[in-house]
Amino acid sequence: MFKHSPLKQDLILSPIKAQATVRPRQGRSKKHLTTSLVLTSLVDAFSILVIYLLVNTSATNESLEITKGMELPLASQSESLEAGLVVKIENNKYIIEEQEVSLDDMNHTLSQIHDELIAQSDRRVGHLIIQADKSTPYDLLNPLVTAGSVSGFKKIKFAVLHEETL
Amino acid sequence: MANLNRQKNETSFEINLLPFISLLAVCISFLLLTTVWIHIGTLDIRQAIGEASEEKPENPPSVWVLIEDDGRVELEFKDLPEGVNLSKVSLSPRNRKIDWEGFTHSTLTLKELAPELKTALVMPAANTAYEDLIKILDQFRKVEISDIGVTPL
Repeated sequence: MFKHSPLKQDLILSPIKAQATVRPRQGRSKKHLTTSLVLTSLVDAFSILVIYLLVNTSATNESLEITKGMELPLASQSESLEAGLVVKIENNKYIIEEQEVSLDDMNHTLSQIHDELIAQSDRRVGHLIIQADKSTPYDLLNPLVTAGSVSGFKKIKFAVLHEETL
Repeated sequence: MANLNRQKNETSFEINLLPFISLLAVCISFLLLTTVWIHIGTLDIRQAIGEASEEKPENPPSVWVLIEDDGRVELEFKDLPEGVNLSKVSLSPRNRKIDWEGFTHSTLTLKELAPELKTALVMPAANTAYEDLIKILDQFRKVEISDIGVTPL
């Protein structure tokens, strides 16, 4: 029934057998020395890899740009990143939307941006994300926490690196 | 004619896997390049300033965490329900750093004794590192104290 079975074709005829001295079979088996790659397992491995990578791909579209030299603290109970106004602290300077903001103008700037976000119905409304190096002292974070709350940002979020727990 | 008959009798066939493998290889390359390996998240705090502080006629049971300049940590309990008695905990610093082992132990113990505790208020010192603040917030979340506020200096 399975005259041309692929299994049969996959058999690799031994070259040692072909070299037998007692009953040389060279003449008969010469044309059957074939090798074939078993591709099924390779396809399986590739499929598993693709599924793993697809699952591992972050579902959120939000991203945060980390400046060179900035190291975020680790937290295992962190929530996924949502849209929000990002305020960075770099070299003791406050940076909002790529522009340096002085401490005196912080309240005014945040209030202004908050109002603009409301007017534009931006999805970042009410969310303030504070991004700083892990060694930053709290006295640099404090003005942001206070100004953010006063300016109407209901959710203040600290950016962290998600730590996997086993 | 003979050729047709032979084709009819053949019951086995082979699927050409090469295009499929090529497709998977392209997918893998694309995903490897685009996958974000560093997962950035956020830890949220709740600040009760302005409107948010108006409501709530009754204060919920809470733990107040005071971090001193030298790394000493004090845990104080407020508005605990009747029958729950937790005394103030003071954790001495270790090498001028917060005693994390003691802090973890204290949070686990207080959660055992007062499971209804969901609110914490952290009072950092001016020199408290961002990393230490996050560690404290993270530890509270681990013991299901999720309503956390941070006081201004």
